Amino acid sequence: MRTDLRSLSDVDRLIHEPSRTVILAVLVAVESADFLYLQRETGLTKGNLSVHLSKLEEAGYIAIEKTYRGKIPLTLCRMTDLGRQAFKNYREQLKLFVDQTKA
Amino acid sequence: MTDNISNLARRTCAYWFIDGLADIGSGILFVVLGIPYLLWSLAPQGSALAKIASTGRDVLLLLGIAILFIVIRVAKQHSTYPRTGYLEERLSERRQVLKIGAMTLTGVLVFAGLITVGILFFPAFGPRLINGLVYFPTFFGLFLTIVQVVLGFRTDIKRFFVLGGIAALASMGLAVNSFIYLTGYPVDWRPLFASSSGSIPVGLSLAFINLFHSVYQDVAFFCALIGLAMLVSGLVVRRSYLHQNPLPVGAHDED
Repeated sequence: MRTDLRSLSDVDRLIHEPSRTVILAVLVAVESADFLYLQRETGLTKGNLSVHLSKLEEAGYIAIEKTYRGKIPLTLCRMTDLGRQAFKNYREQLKLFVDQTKA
Repeated sequence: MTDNISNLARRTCAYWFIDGLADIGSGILFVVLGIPYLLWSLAPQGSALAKIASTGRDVLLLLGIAILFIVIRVAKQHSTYPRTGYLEERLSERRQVLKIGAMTLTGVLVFAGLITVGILFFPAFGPRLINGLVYFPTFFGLFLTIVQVVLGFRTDIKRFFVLGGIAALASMGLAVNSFIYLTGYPVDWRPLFASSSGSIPVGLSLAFINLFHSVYQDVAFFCALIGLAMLVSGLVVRRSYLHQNPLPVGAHDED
């Protein structure tokens, strides 16, 4: 394995999980989004989405704010600076890998 | 990956228009804006009705967009966010929109300033410049066309191209009509200056009032046409949106 190809094994495993990649890809394009919007965009179930959001929050990649809109509970998710940087690095690593493995 | 991120950013921008509320609101604003123009063109000069129409138009122009934004936001809170979720655009996107708005306003003010300077300090060109202002509604229509086309590209929503096409056709109609006004009824504003005892502001006011009195009917027609097109487009989108996204029953959010 060439050194530049090893970059893929160094990718952030927390982001490399498909559902979490999609969540971050949605959040990177917005300032904040609520749980319902993320659920529609990712196609995940409430339980699954909730688990993935918790993991991303634990890593400090997203910030979750629990509030109310009227009497309706509202979960707002926002990507942190750390999350944006991590996602940027992840994309660059993937791009490098794809570029190096082109036939 | 970059393309996917771009698509997501485009979808984010398109989300504001997903429910048809923006189209309906803009359509109503244009139709309502057309009413004072129509009244102004029909009412005798200096009458109370003309004054009310003129004031109503100014109020609508100044407050209409702000009121529209507030009403749409409130309507979305009650109808859209519970159905398909809440989304806040990135600050950079909002700054870009504000920047474009500020640049447009600056352009209009510079244009208006140049026209005023031309009229006041270059008497040879003054009447021609005033006559040229008859095309202002056409320029506004073309500006609206550009806005719709840019929105179409930014959001990848096809109906904006159709609305842009309608605005372009209406603008061309206005341009032809304005041309007929000018060639059919050649106007020399110098007697107006003379009749106003040499007072340039009064002379200019008279010139504007006479010229635009005949053009305002066209503006009213243009506003009604564009407004109805937006309204119909918005209602169709709204119907489809409500049909595809019924209000969730029972648990909300993560419950």
